[in-house]
Amino acid sequence: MLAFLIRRTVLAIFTIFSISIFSFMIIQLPAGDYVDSYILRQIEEGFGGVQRSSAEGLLERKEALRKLYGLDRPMYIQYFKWIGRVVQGRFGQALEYRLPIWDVIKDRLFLTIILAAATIVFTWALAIPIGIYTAVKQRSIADYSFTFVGFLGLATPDFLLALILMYMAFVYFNFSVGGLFSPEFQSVGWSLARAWDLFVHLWIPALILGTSGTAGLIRVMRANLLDELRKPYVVTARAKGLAEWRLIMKYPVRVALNPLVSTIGYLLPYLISGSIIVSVVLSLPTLGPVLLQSLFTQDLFLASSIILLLGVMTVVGTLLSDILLVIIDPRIRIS
Amino acid sequence: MAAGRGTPLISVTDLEVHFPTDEGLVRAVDGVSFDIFPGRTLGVVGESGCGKSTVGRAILQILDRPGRIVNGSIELRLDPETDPDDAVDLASLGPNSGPMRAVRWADISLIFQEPMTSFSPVHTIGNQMIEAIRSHRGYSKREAREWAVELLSMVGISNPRQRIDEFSHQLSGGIRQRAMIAMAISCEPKLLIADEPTTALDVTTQAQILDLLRELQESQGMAIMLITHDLGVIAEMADEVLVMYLGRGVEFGPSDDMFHNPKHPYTTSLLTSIPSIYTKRGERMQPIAGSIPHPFNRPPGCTFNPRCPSFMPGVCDHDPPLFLPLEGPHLVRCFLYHDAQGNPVTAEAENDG
Ligand SMILES: Nc1ncnc2c1ncn2[C@@H]1O[C@H](COP(=O)(O)OP(=O)(O)OP(=O)(O)O)[C@@H](O)[C@H]1O
Ligand SMILES: [Mg+2]
Repeated sequence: MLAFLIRRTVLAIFTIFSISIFSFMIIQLPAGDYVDSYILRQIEEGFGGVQRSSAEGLLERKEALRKLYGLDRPMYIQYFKWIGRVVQGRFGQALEYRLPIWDVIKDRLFLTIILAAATIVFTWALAIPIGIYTAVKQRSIADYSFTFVGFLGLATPDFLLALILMYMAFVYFNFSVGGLFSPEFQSVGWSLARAWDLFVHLWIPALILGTSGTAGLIRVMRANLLDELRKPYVVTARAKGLAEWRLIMKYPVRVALNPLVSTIGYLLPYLISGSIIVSVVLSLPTLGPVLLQSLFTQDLFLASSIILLLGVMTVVGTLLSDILLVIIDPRIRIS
Repeated sequence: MAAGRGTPLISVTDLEVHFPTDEGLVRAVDGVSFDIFPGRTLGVVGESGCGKSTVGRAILQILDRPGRIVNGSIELRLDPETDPDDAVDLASLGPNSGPMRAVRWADISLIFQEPMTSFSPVHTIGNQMIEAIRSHRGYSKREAREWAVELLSMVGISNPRQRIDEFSHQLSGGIRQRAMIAMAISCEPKLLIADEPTTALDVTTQAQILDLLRELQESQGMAIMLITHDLGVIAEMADEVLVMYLGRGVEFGPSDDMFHNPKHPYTTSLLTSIPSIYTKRGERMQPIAGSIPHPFNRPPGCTFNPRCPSFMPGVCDHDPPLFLPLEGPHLVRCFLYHDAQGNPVTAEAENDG
């Protein structure tokens, strides 16, 4: 058990290190750097006097900017300087925002985690009971109906669902579904009222982000449980004279849930990458839109900070769900 | 065995179980009658797929979906000695009804072939035993646990106080089956259905488990329905024998009669297909000439007719034979002994068939 924990933790640290290298490298791949796209945009926007300066002036300015941001140094030095600061919690400047990166993303990171957690809770609260019911009542009308609705949920793109819900909420209820806060709570400090406002706004994005996950989880839960329902230990429990629902919940459902626990960790990156478009559509103050924006502007440091944070969250989430699985499944715990 | 036959504990009459599947109707049990006597062992034999397990599960009404009892009765006499008329027909009870659930484990319990998978992988042995005890007895948790520990040592498990908190995958195959037996006798049932209890075990362990079953039968006075492929095991353990073929009972009678004077040609082929049944245990049944017909393509008349050495054209391939008594308690389903109207056939007619 302890050996398992140590092994997993070491593996997790190594994975995080690899993620940091890869996130740094992948962002480097496209031609040009932040300064190129910064100057290009200034030329396009005819802003800052760049248009009037000569070609040499432009080049000089470029070199100066490169030096200022350390972009002229070799790649590995850029990486180590960056990671050295990151380990101390200093992510550097967000070039576009002219603010420390941490200030740009900390609220958004928090809201992203809250939204992901709400979506996971929503997904499980809906999918597990439906999965159980459809497996136990296999081939009933309810089973076929949920299967049909589930496939619809799987097939509908999240952003389309977001648009439809926004339209309907606005037209029929005169209710605006954007954001995670009402205007009056947008930029005030935390209070009980603001937390409640967040809670009220949270469930629509959670529902939108959770639909395809819910539909998928229903199918997995149903298939797992159908497998378990056929096992001899269920027949034993039935032969003991236990009431049907009680024995189903105690034995096969318990066993069928185990493999699902290990999927919680994978849900996280899926939710975050999947939420980018929805976040843009619903103008949610989460990490997704900032990541997208930083990729457009080729802000290497901002993008790799976000990717690194998401990677770390995924690895930690997976580690936690692995540990949870070990705690609930004696077959793994003992061997 | 010591006990006389007396009044049956369980009388199964004309039992039929169907599985309506997408591919067609599977007549898993298609007419079976037999008796189980208190404190005695009924052996059930037949080739794979003939419906042995289905009969066992039908008695407890724990058939897999979409199985259903469509005909016949299963009469259980809770007190056959003193009150032979007090019988419930289990087939008439709803599978999830209170009375049916009360019969399970308390009066009739069950063990199967795979001791590995008959216990839940995520609950301890003790948890599952205590649950069984407490759902039929008004024991406190502590009393139920004490009783479970006692049962475990009764079936020969050493260190029961430690073993009770282990999971089934921590035990060896033989110990697991012993624990299963301990759980099965925890409410002192009148009948234990053992569905191939030794098939998954090695030969030495097989012998130990069979010995254990016999000892427990002696001390508890329970009846055993022993389902097996192994005629050697039947010869050793059974007082009565039921032979099944393609869902039908073809012969039922006292074990001695069956081994020394088998009536049905299928029983005869079974016996001759094993060289020496009294010396070799653990040997699987040898296949008989011909193959088992597909369940959806059963021959008309007697389903054994394509493989039968005594096949009578025009007789055996028309109407199905009936499962009728011969002399005494012996039942047989064959036109060698009964005509289509169910009248006994004389010995002379039998020989030129
Ligand atoms: N759940 C089910 N659905 C459909 N058909 C079934 C089901 N369970 C059993 N059957 C069919 O019922 C018939 C009898 O099966 P059963 O398991 O009772 O045979 P068996 O004599 O116990 O065989 P074995 O010796 O292999 O254990 C077989 O043809 C089988 O295919
Ligand atoms: Mg079987």
